[in-house]
Amino acid sequence: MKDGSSAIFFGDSDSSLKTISEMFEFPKIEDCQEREFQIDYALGTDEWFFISLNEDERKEMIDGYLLVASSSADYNKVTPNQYNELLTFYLIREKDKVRDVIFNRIFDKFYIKSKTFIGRGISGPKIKTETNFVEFNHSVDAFWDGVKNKLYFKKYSTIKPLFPSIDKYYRSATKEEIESFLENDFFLVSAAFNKSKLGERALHNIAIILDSKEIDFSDVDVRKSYITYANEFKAFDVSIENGQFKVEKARDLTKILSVLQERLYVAPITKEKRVASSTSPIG
Amino acid sequence: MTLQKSLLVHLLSLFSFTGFVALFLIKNKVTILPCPTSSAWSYIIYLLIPLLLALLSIWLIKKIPTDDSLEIDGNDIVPVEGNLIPAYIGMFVISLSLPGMSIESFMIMLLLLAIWLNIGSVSYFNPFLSIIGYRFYAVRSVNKKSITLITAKKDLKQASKLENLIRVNNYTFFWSEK
Repeated sequence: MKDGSSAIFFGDSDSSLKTISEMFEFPKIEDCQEREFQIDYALGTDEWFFISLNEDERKEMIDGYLLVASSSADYNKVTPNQYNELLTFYLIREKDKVRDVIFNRIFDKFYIKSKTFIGRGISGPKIKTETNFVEFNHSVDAFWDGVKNKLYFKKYSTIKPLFPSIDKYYRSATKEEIESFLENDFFLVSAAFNKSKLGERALHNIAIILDSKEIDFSDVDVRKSYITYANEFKAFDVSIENGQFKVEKARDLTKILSVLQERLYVAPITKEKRVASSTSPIG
Repeated sequence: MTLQKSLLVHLLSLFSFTGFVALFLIKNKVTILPCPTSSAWSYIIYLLIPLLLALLSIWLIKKIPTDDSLEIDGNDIVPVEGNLIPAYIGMFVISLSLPGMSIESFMIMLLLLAIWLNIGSVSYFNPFLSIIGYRFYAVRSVNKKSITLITAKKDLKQASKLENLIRVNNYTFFWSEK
């Protein structure tokens, strides 16, 4: 639930549980498909990020979900008036006393107060209105592997609300930090710029830049070198005006962050101009 | 809760309410048998009905799937009949103090029934289950939550985990030792 509590949808003997289990399947992740979580890495379609949890982290992030399996009497059954309070739908599997869990994130848009359909009736088309239901798209958004002690997922922003303490693996800039970052006169921020449109990745990249303290925004020579660097990649289309980076839309800031993180490069052999999806050092 | 389960819970509460009705009918000397000398037999029937319905309640409860489990916090198990019976006796007193067979009595009885059915969705108690040998315990879980456990097991003092519990409502569970 959005308030952090859990409730039971289907008991072990519920016939719907069998149907759910057939659609909502535990993934089989090979070693070659897993990749340690790195926000700026673009996953392949069959790849999964993972984070390994130690015992304390497991207790903090996973055990709350597992308690339902060991002491279900502590939890209420979900009532229809709670359908708009759902945050995730999760399924527990127990094998040799080890529990695995799969999670499906329920976004606010999945809750439908009322919807009308035209369908086929016995004597022709028929109108049917369904009220108070939740769309279940049966995608596995996160998977806890109890044997490997790894939490797998595809998209960080999707699972973040499910595991509030996951923040330590991935820091986002706070509201205040974004404000102070953009107040810097290296940026020319349009009045129409909406900071709330910034995505998780942009917020994280701002946090990385701030935490690294590598860029001295007050140093004129440093500023010049970034402007020169951005101008070398004209096709990347970073908007520059009077030696300042111009920010009108969230997309502009994303591009500027790529410049500040030196993601733009020329392939040494083909001389093709490219953008790196990761900034992790290899040596 | 499904409609079917909800109806079952109300039915169980209704069965436990029959005790008040029996007492009310006895107090007002209402007989169902034609011969006036056999009023004692009518009263016996009135008292037998709640007992039979208590047996039927157990049969119905056992039809509910055994889906739940409970980890108990350090053998924290306490019998609760002592706490529940006074509340029930309070209802008996109301039944006994109702004026004879009248519209007022009928309305008050209906009101009591409505309250009883409503309470039944969170807390279920039928003293006639105690008469037929079932016990009520308050059990505290490892998550520091308290539930009422109905079981035929006498003097239950020690248990770390109970499996195959039947959920009557979110606070009341039935357990039979296998």
